[in-house]
Amino acid sequence: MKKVFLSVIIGIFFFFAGILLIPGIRGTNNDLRYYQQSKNREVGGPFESSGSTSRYLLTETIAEDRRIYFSQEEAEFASPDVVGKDGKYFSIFMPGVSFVGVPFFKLGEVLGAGQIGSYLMNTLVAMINVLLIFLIVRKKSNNNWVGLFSGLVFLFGSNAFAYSFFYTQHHLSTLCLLIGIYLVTFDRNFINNLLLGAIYGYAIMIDIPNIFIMFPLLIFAFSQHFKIKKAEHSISLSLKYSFIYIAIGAIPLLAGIGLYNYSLTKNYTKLPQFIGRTETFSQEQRKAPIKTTVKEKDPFEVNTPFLTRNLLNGLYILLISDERGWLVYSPILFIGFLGVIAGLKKKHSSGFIQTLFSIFIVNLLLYAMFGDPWGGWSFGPRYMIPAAAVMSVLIGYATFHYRKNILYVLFVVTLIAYSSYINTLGAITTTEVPPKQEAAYLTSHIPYTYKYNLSLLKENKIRSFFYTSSLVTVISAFDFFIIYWSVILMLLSFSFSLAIIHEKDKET
Amino acid sequence: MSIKFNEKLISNIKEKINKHGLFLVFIALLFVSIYHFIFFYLNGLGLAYNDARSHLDIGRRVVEGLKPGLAQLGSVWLPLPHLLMIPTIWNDFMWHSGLSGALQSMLSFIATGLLIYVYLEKIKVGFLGKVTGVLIFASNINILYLQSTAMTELLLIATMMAGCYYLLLWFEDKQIIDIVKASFWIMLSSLIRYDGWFLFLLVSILVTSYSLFKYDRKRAEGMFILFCTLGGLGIFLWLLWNALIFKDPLYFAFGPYSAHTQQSQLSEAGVLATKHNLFLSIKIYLYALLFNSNVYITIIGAIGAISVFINKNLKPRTKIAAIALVAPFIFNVLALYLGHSVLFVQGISGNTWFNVRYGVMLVPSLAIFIGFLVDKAKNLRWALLGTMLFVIMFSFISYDAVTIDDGRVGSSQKNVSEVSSWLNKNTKDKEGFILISAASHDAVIFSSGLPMKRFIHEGTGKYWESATATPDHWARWIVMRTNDDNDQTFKLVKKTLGFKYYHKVASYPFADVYEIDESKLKKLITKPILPRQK
Repeated sequence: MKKVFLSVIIGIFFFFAGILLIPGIRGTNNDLRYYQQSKNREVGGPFESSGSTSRYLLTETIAEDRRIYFSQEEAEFASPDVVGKDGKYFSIFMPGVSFVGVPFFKLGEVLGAGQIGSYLMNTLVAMINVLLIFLIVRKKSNNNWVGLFSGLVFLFGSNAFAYSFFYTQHHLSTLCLLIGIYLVTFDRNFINNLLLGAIYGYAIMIDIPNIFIMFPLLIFAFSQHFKIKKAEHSISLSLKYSFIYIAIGAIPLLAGIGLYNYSLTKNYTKLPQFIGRTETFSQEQRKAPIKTTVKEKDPFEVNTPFLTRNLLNGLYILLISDERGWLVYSPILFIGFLGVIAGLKKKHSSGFIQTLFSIFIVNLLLYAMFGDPWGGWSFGPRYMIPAAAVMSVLIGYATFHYRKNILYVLFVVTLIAYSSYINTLGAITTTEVPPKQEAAYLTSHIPYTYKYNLSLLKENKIRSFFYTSSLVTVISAFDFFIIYWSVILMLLSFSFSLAIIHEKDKET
Repeated sequence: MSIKFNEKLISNIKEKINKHGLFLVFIALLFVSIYHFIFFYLNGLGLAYNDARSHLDIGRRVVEGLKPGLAQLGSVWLPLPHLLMIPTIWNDFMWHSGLSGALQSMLSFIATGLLIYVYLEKIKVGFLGKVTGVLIFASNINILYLQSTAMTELLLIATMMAGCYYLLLWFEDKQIIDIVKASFWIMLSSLIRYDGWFLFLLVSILVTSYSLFKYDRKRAEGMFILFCTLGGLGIFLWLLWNALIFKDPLYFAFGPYSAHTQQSQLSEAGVLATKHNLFLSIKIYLYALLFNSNVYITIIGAIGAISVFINKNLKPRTKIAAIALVAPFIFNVLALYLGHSVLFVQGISGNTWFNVRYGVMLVPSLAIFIGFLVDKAKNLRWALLGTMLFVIMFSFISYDAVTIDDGRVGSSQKNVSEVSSWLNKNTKDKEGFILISAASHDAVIFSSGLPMKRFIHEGTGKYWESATATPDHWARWIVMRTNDDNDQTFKLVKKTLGFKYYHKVASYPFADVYEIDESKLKKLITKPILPRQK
C-alpha cells in the first residue's frame, strides 16, 4: 500500500513537471499551426535556429512526400544547414532526430499541427530523460526523492530546459546516453547488450560525436563481462560471450547510416557534413561559371574540427565564461563533482562513477577542442546537455551523502534558485544568443549573455503559446516569467526537501 | 569461457615485468624515436628551425672550413651540443640530414623516458603509474618533433632530468656518490643552455639548506663545496672560455650577438612586453606550457604535483628533491621578467610564434606527477588514463604541435630556400668564395648544400678581416641584406672601395646576392692561401 501511495506521489510530481513544460511550447496568433504554415523564422519562434529548421524540414518532407531531398525553396528555409550536391539539396545533419520525428509529425497532423507534433517529441523526450535520471539514481541510492530531485535539476536547472522546445539533437542524444547508463546498472545478458548496441548505433545516427561520448559506457559494459575469482592457489578469469551482442545490436543502425549516406553522397562513409554547407540558391548563381582558382594545398593543413590547441579557450567558454559557461548558466551542475567524491568512497560503485565522470570529461573535452564551443547562436553550452544529465545523476550521489550537511543544503538551494531562474529565462524567450565575437559586429546591439533574454522579456517579446493565447492581455511577460519561475522553484525546493528529510536508505 | 592461472605463474610474470620493465620501455622508446626521426626527415620538418641549421653549422665549422677548430664554438650558445656533434658531423650526410644533431636529441629522448621510469620507481610508484609517466612524455608531439631535430631541448631535458634523479637518490639514500653524479649531470646541463645554470643554483640551495637543517654548518659547507666544485665547473669553464677567446668573461651575456643585445633591440621596438612585467611573464610562459603540454594533461599534472607535495607517505626530503622538477618554470618566468628571454605566443603577444618550444621543458615533470597521481588515485585511475588517452589521440589526429608551427610559419623559421637554391645552382661548379655573415645567414649556408670552406664568415679570422676590407680580392659573391646594418657583411662592405665592382644578381626577402664583375675575376683569390690560423 505504501509503495502504491509513493508511486502515486512520484507520478504526480512527474505530471506536474510535465505540465510545467507547456508554457514553453512555441506559438502565436492564437494558432498552433501558425509557424508551420508561415515558416516564420522570427526570434523566439520554433524556427529561430537552423539547427531546428533543417532537421524539421527533413521530417516534414519524409512524412509528407517520402523524400529526403529539399526543393530550392525548402533549402533556402533550411539554410545555412543545407548541402548542395549535383543540383540537389539535403540536410547537413545526421537524420536520427528527423526519422524519429516522423510518427510524431503524423500524429500532430491529425490535428493539422504536424510541426507541434514533431517538436513535442523533444519535449516528451526531455521528460523521459528526467524519468531515466530518476530511475538511475533510485537504483543506485534506493531513494526515490533524491532521484526525483536529480531529474528535476537536469530539466529545470540546466539549458536542457530551453532546448526541450526545439528540434535539435540534444535531448535525443541525452536519451540514448541515459538509456545506456541505465542498461549498465543491470547484469549483462544478451538482451540488454543488444539494446545497448542498438542505442549506441542510434546515438551515432543522431549525432556523430556520440561515438566518443558514449564510448566510456561501452568500455564499462565490456569490462562487466569479465570476472576475476581468487581461489586457494589460482586465479580464474571468466569472460561472458554476450558482449558480442553489443556489436550485433549496433550493426543494423550503422548499416542504416551507411545507406543514408550513400543515398545522398554516393559514398557509404561520406557524411553530408564532409561536403559542407551551401549558402546560395539563386538561379543566377547556379548558372554562373565556376571560378577555378588553383590553391596550393598546404601539406600540413589540419583536416579535423577538433584541435587540442582549442582546449584552453574551449574549457573557458564551456565552464566559466559569461557567454556560455556553466558557472553563469547552470552552476548547480558543479555539485556533481561532490557526487564523484562521494561515489568514489565506495569501492563497489567506483567503476560506475568513473564511467560517469569519463563521459562528462569526454563531452567537455570534445567540445572544448571543437572550433565552435559556443554552438553558434545558442543559449548556454548546448553541446554540454548530455554532460548535464550525467552531472545530475552525480548530484544524486552528492545529495544522498551530504544531505544532512547544512552547508550543502544552503549551497544547493542557492544554486538551484539561480540556475532555474536563468534557464527559465531561456525556456520562454530565445535560444539564439550570439557569441561575443559576433555580437561585437552586429549593427543593432544584442547582448551576448542571458541579458539578451531578459531584454526580450522586458520588451514582451516571447512566443510562448500559453502566454500569447491566454495571458498576454492580463499580465506582462516579465510577471509571467516570475510566476512561472516561482512555481518551478517551488517544485524543486519541495523535491529537495523530501530528498533531505527522507531517512537514509541502504545504498546499492 | 573461463581460464585458470596458477598463482605462481602470475607472480612470475609480475616479477619478470618488474625486472625487465625498463628494458621493455627502452625498446618501445627506441622504435618511437627512430620512427619519428624518419617521419620528420622525410617531410622536411626536421630542418625547419633556423636554430637547428645554425647548430649544425657550428658543429661543422669546428671540423671543416677556412678556420676549423674549437674556437668555432663561439660564444652565446653553450658548447656541449656542438661538441657532441664533432664525431659525426664531418660526414656530409650526417650534417645535411641533421642526423648529427638529431642523434643526441633521440638518445636524450630515450634517456629521459627511462629516467622518468626510474624516478617513479624510486618513489614507489607501481608499474601502471611508471608506464603512464613514460607514455605522457613519449606521446607529446612537441617532444617527438624536437627529438627528431638538432635542437637542444631534449639534450637539456635529459641532463636536467638525470640531475634531478640523482638528487632524489641522494635525498633518499644519502650516498655521496649520488650527489657527485647529480652535480655531474647538472654541470653538463649548464653547458647546454642557461636553464642549467638556474638548476645548478636551485639545487645548490636545496642541498645546502637541507644539510644545514639536517646536520650542521660544517656538513652543509662541505656539501656545498662538493656539489659546486663539479656542478659549477661548466659555468667556470664557460666564463674562462669567453675571457680567453673574446677577452671578456661576460661576452656571451652582453656581447653583440647575445640574447641581451637581441632583446634590447626588441625592447626598444616595444615588443618585449614581458620585461619587468611579472604577471605577463607568468601568463605568457603558462600559455607556452599549456600549448606544448596540452591543457588537460597540464591540469592533471598540476593535480598530480599537488598530490606529490601533500602526500603523507612521501618523506619531506623526497618532496624537497621534487622541487627541482619545477625549476624550468621558475627559470623561464624569471628570464622573461628580466628581459633575457623572448617568447611570442600567437594571439597573446603578437601575431606569430617565437620560442614557444620553451614550454616543453616541463613535460617530463608533468609526466612524473601524473604517473604518481595515477598510482595513488586507485578509484579514479582508469577514468584519468582513458580521458588522457582520448586527448592524446586527438593530438595525433590533428598533429597539433605549436613547436612545428613555430618552425613552419613562426618566427623561428626562415624560408631561405630561394637564396640557398640560387647559391647551389650558380656557385657550386664555379670557383670562388662567398662572403656572408654566419650570424645573420647561417640557414643560407646550411641550406645551400655547399661545403663550409666556400664561405668567408665572421669565424674565419683573417679571411673575414681581409674580405670585408677588400672584398674585390676575396669574394666572388656576397650575400647580405642590403641597407641593414645588423648584417655585419653589409655594415663593413658598404664602406669599401671594392664594393663598386659588384652587381646585384638576385634579390630575395631574406638576402640579396651580389656577384663580382667579370673584369675582376682574374685577380680574385679563389683558394685558401692564408697560413693556418691559431
